[in-house]
Parts: sequence; structure tokens; C-alpha cells
Amino acid sequence: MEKTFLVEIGTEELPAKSLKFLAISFLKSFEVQLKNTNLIYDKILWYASSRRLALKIFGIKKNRNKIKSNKNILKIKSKNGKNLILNKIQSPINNIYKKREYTKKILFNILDKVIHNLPISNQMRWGENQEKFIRPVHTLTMLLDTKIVHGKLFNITSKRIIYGNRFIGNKKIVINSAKEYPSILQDKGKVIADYETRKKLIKEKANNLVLNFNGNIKFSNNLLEEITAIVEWPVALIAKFKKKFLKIPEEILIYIIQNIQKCFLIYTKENQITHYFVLITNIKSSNPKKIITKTEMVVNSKLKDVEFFLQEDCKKKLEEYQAQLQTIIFEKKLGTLLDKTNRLKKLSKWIAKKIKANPERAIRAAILSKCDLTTKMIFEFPGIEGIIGMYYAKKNKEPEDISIAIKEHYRPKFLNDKLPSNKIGDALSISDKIDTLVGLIGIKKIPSGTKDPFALRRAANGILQIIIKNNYDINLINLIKKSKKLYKTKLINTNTIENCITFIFNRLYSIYQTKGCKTSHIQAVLNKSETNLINFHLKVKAISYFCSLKISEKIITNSKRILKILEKSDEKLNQNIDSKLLKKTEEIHLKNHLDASQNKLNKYLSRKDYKSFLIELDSFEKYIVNFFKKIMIMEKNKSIRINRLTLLKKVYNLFCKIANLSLL
Amino acid sequence: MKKTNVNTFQGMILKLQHYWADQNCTIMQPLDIEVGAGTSHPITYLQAIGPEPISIAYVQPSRRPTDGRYAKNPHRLQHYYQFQVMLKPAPKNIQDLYLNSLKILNIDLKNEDIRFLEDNWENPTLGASGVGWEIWLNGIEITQFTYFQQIGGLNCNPISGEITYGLERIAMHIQNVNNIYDLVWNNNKITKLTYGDIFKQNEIEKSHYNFKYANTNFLFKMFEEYIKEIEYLLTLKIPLPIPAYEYILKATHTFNLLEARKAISITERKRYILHIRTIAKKIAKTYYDFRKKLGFPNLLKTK
Repeated sequence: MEKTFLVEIGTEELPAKSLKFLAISFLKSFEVQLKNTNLIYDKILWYASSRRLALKIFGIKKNRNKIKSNKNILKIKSKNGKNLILNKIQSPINNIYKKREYTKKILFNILDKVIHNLPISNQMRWGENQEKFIRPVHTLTMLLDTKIVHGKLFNITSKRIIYGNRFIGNKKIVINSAKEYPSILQDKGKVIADYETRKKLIKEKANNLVLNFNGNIKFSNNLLEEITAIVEWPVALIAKFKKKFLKIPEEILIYIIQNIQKCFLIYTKENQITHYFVLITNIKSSNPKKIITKTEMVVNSKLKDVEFFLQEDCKKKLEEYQAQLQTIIFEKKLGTLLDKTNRLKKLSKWIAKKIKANPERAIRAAILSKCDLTTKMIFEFPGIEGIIGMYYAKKNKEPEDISIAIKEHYRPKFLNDKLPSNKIGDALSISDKIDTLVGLIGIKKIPSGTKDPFALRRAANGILQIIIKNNYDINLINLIKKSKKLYKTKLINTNTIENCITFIFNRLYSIYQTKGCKTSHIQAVLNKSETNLINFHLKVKAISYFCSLKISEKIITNSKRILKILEKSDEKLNQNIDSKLLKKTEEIHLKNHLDASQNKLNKYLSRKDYKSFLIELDSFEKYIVNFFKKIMIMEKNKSIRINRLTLLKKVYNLFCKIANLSLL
Repeated sequence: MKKTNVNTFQGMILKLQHYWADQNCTIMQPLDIEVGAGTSHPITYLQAIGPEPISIAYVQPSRRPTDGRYAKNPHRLQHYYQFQVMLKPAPKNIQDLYLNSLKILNIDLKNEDIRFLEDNWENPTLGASGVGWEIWLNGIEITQFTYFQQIGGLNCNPISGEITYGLERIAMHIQNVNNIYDLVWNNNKITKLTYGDIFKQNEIEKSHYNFKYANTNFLFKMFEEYIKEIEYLLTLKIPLPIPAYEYILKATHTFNLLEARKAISITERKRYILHIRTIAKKIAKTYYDFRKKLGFPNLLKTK
């Protein structure tokens, strides 16, 4: 008999920005745990809203053929309290338990385990509870078809009662069967529990409103997801701010209306910003005008503040704010933002020369890059640094590329973010990021696990992405050294440079993995300590291509075989092969081919034609085959043996010039 | 007594006090020292530590010198009123209690837009942190709702629920005015007093004082003296955490004034905050130890 299982955990309002992640983690953890049982199912659906997380599993039944491994022994308490252990031998389960109870208990045990191990940090305690969760829990509902699954979580007993919308609809709803979810919530509780349905609905409602307006909304996915997570019963309304505020720069308007007020700006069909916006409310009000009027009041007052601050700030030129930078600490041991600016001036100049950008402009951009941090606008609205700097720079008639660089030097802020759009921005971005990275690693603040408060991983990713995308010829080690030097005596970590190199190069994994490269390929190239990113990029590409060719199989196998032999012997080998000691034909031929191919291979290397280099290694195939067939490597005579091993070593080193082939 | 009129500032406060008294809170009076928020009141800060239960509500005048706007901004004040509620342990239905308090203020929950937005509160000076929400009414934040997790660096047990109402904002909603100074404080047979009548001059003079005329040498000296006094009080044979705590509050306010005068480079700002926080933690610990020695007497007070 196939059954449907429902679990809903009713909570207080869950953090909007992580709701989706939370719900999917819940789903995935549950799936993983189910695999360890002999229950099978057709599908699992997840539901999430601000006040609930739910899972619905369809088509559950016991798989009689699935034998569990010893690792997955479940201890279950029977009704009379005795412990029963299920093991993989066909235990007479049917005689001990009715099927349903068994399934119920397994599902509850899984839930218990999963809920207490969700990958969420910053969980809280409430009341007199010692257990932690993301927000206080109020209801627990577990149903297997129409039967309650008994259990307690956070001292809450599983019941048929679920809570509807806080303000409208039925507050408490009795649910009789798992299949009633989530429609019962929608019909009786005025809650749309399905996340994606709700998200789509919000977009639709907003678009419908805007249709009448002949306008257009540029939906930011982040905002859409956030609003989806906040409201349970979305209703869209249109409001407006005073037209005069349209003279405030667009980026700032976007920040205030979208990031702070959480509304969607309406644009004309020609993508011009208008003074209208859409707000999504959590209720179907009989007096929407009131909500609109109040919201408009708030928005207008915020924009009035913005106007005031912009005016105040612009009484001084952007560069005049530099002096105040010495009042802002960058990091206690590393000095102020003025100190940082001074380092950025030198770094940007150095990088600009390498990437053929105008060094004077790079210096100017560095000088202005942090000035906006001391303005009133940023004090009031800390999320728009860079944007404000750009706007003020433009007002002061600074060159366009410098102004844009001020805004863009924070990019990329995350893995798929845009990169700076001009070279000045690139130089400044790399400078800022490497300065922060070297500084913090230099005072031993290396990120660990989930703790990365200065976002060093992002910084390293950013540096790499900019260099790789633009093919810049910047030697990372020199960059690190230059940055370290500028800190003079402030860095106490004696291994700063090594730690930085390791840290940055480890980021290459994630970058190349997102490009679809295999870990083994990345590892093989990294193993050869390539510090030039352009070369690294070419090598990884070459290896990936190489591995797709048939000839690579044999070459890789040979490399591994040779390595094994070399590792087995712990004798000291020579620097050079002694031709006089080569007696047999096969070893002579191998040596000769080794010598003969040097020229060609070196040419490929110097031209960075790594693909051709690797393909050329195929020419060794027949010589190696013969060598292994006919040559007794572990010859009794020591000098001959050593010589043969030396020959093999030279071949191996040659093969691994680009990447450690034995890692493939 | 006549029915309380929610449409005055005075009436609104009375309504809230009555409501929370009905919820078995003890209605306290405000602290007579300058503070930035109701949380600083020792009845909240010190009582949140340790296991002794408490349920209180009070109005707290709050000062934020840098928010002065010379009475020109209709939404911002350097001195305003919070209504502070603390329930320890936080009851299961604390959210409902809060929402009902909005109802009694004639806020129509079925037709106005209320949202709970994640906001994890932190007061680094006092080493306090909590988890909770900003509560928005039609797009504007009117309340901060927090479950304290740590006070003075010590884990809270049981957890307190703190509800901090922004009284002026709520009043502006109820009275439907767009300018704080137009809020009606009291309206009776004899007089009608607005917020501006009472506070406008205060805002103007204070803004001038906070931003331009405060004597920074005098403030620095006071700050140093307060810190000295605290250290003296904490190192006595029988330490005195309660007067020491009061001096922390005075020191913090002095520091806020210096900030408004831009006399503290933010270089030093972090140093000062760290210093105050270290002391606040010491006070919290001393107070906790003192209550522990007494055997946490208030545990027995709950009927």
C-alpha cells in the first residue's frame, strides 16, 4: 500500500533571506536519510513560507528487496518500551510490527535527526528550552495518509492542527489527511504554502498591475525571493513618490526603493525610471489606500533625507573627504582607511603598468576610492558605498573611467558577479582585494570553515577572475610580495607569502569547477606549482583536451607505472644518464628518443603550446613498451640499475612538465 | 475615569501601560539617567542575566545625540520615547500578546500591512545580542522584537523576550500626521498640547549643543573620571556593580556626545567601545555572582 507522508513544522517568522536554502536543506537531508532505510517513494515536495516548513512524500512503501547494510541498524522502541534492533537478516518484522507503525517510526526518527542537524548557523533558544532552532516552533504536524504520526520535537507534540494566516482566514485549521496539504491552507487559511507558486504569483500580480500602466518591472531575483519569503498571502499595490525626487541618481533610488523599502520600481517601456513602484503586502485589505498612503509617506521622507544628505555631502569635493579616512579603522593592527588608501595608490600604479592602463588615473582612482565612506550618505545608508563615490566623483568632473572604477572596484562581490568594466577598475579592484588578503593573512586571520568576516575567499576569487578573464600578465607571487612590502612591519605572520599563495590557489578549484573542469585536472596542474595564471589556464585547458583523446590513456598509465617503480626504490639516483652504462637496445633507444624529442618539446613549451606538447608524448609509447618488455630494471648491478632508474626518472619528469599526469 | 483616548500621545502610553499591566507585567518608571535605548535600564539589562524571572513594562526616554536635526526634519529626533516590555521567560504566545497590543491601539490588523523582518539585534557596548525582528506597519518600522541570547557576554537562561515600541512612529500612524511636531500630546477641556509645543525648542537647542557647542575637554575629562570610578567600585572588597553600571551608562552617553561633536576619531571609537564592553561584561558577571550568592531569591517569588 502506497502512502503519503506530510510533515509541517509551524514556526515564528523565519529569516527571509535564507528561507529557500533552509527548506531545500531540510528536503535534501531528509532524502539522504531515507536512502539509508528500506522505504522507497515516488517523490518529495517541499513547502516553505515565513511561518512554516513542510515536506510531502508521495508513494511511500517498504522495499522488500532492499537489504540494509550493517551500518544502518535502527533501534526502535516498541510500544511496550523494549528496544528492538532491526538487522539485515530477514527479521520477522511483520510479526513484530504492523507495517504502518514501522514506517511512522522511521519517518519520525529521520525528522528528529534532520531537524537537529540543519546546516544553519546562529540558531536560537527560546523560553526555557535548551534546544536550538532557527526561530521558535509552535506546531508540529506529521500525517501518514490520515493517521497521525506520533512524536515530539522541541517539546511540541505532533497534532492535526496547523496555523493559517496570522491576520486573515482561519487561525487554526484541522487537517485530516496528508493529501489536503497545501490546498487546505490556501482555501481555509489564506496561506500559499508552495514557495515557487507564491513567487510566480507575486510576479504575475505585479506585472498585471503594471500592464495597465504601460510600464515594466526589472525583477531583481534577490528581492523577489525575499518578498516571497516574507508574505504568505501576497497582494500587489501601486504607489508613488514625489516626482521631484527623480533627480536623485537612479542607483540611489533603486537602493532606497528596492533594497530598503522592498518594493519594485516601475520603468517605462523604454527603461526610464518612473516615480511609481509596486509594493507587495501580506494582506488583502479593504482599505488599500491607507497602506499606499502610509508607504508613500515613508518613502518620501526617506528620499527627503537622501536629498538633504546629498546636498550636505556635496558642499565638499570628494577628495576633501580623504583626511577623514584616518578616523576609520580598517583593522586594528593594520591601520586606518587612509593607510590603506596610501597602499592602494602604490599597488594600483604597479598593476596599471602591468596591464597597460594609465598609472596616473589608477592612482587618482585609488585616492578617491574610499572617500565616500566618510560621507553622510554612507553613514545613513551603508549599503551603497562605491555608488555614492561614483556619483560624487562625476559631480566633481573627475574623468569617467575613474568615477566608474570607484563604483566598480568592489566587483566581483560574489562568484557570478560582473567584473569591473574598465582597466582602472580592474587595477583598483585587484589592489584593494590583495591588500586586504595579504594584510589579514599577515596578521594570522586566515578564514576557517564558515568564519570569513572579511570575505577573503571572495577577495581571492575576485582577483583570480579578473586576471583570468582579461588574460593579464600579472605574476601572483610578485603581487603578493609587493603588497606585503607595503605593510612594512605590521605583519607578524612569518609565512605570509606562502599562506597567501596557498590560499589564493585553492580558490582556483572552485573557479575552474564552475567552468566544468574536473578536480583531477585542476589538481594535476596545481601540483606543478604553476604560479602564472595565464599559463595555469592554458595548461588546464590542454589537460582537459588531452584527456579527451584516446592516446592519453596509455600515456597516463605509463606515467603511473613509472612513478610506482620510482617510488618503490629508495636509492639515490643520478643527475644524469651515463650512456656508457646503457647496454641493451631498448634502453638505448629510449634514451635516444628522449634526447631527440627535447628540441621539439621545448619549442612547444616556450610557445605555451601545451596541447601539442602532450600529444607529442605519444611518440614515446613504443619505446616505453619495449623498455618494459625487455629491460630488467631491478638489475643486480647497482650502477646499471641506478642508471636505468635515472632514465625512467628523466622520462617521468619530462612527461610531468605541464601537469602531474599520475594524478589523472 | 474617562475612557483613554488613543489619539493622543499621552493616551497611547496609558493604553499600553494598562494593557501590559493586564498581562501581569509590573509597570516600572523610566530610568533617570541618559540612555540610548530602553534596554539599558538596569531592570532590563541586569535582570536579563541569570535565572530569576521578571515581567515589566515602562516608558523610556532615549537620547541619540547624532540624530539631532535642529527640528527641521519631521521624522527625526535626538530625544524620543520608547515603550519597553520585557518578559522573562518569554511566554509562548508573546507574538500574539504584541499583536493584540496593536489592536487595542486601534491598529486594524485585518486591513493594515504588518510584516516581521529578520533583524538580529546587537549592542556591542553592552556585550548583548539577540535574535528577532523589526516589525513594519505599512512600510515603516514601529517595533523591535528580540529574544535575548546573550547579555554582558553571558548566555541567557531563561530567554527574555523584549519588545521595544517606537512610540512617536506609532502615534504618527494612529493620529495620521506626517510631522512629529504635529503629534497631539494631550487634548482636554483646558488645553491641546502638541509634541512641538513641548519639545521643539529642546530639539533646536540640543542640536546646537550636541553638534557645535558641547565642551569636548569637559566631556573627555568626565569620561575618564567615570571610567576611573567604575574600576574603583568594581575592585572594592565588596564590589558595587549597581552604581558601577550607572556610571557605564553615564560614560556611554558622554561618549555619544563626543561622537556627535566629531571629537572621537573612529579609530578611537572602536577602542572606547571595546573598553566599555569589557567593563559592562565585568559588571554583568559581578551582578550575576552576587545574585547567585544570594541564591537567586526572585526564583521563589513567582506564585
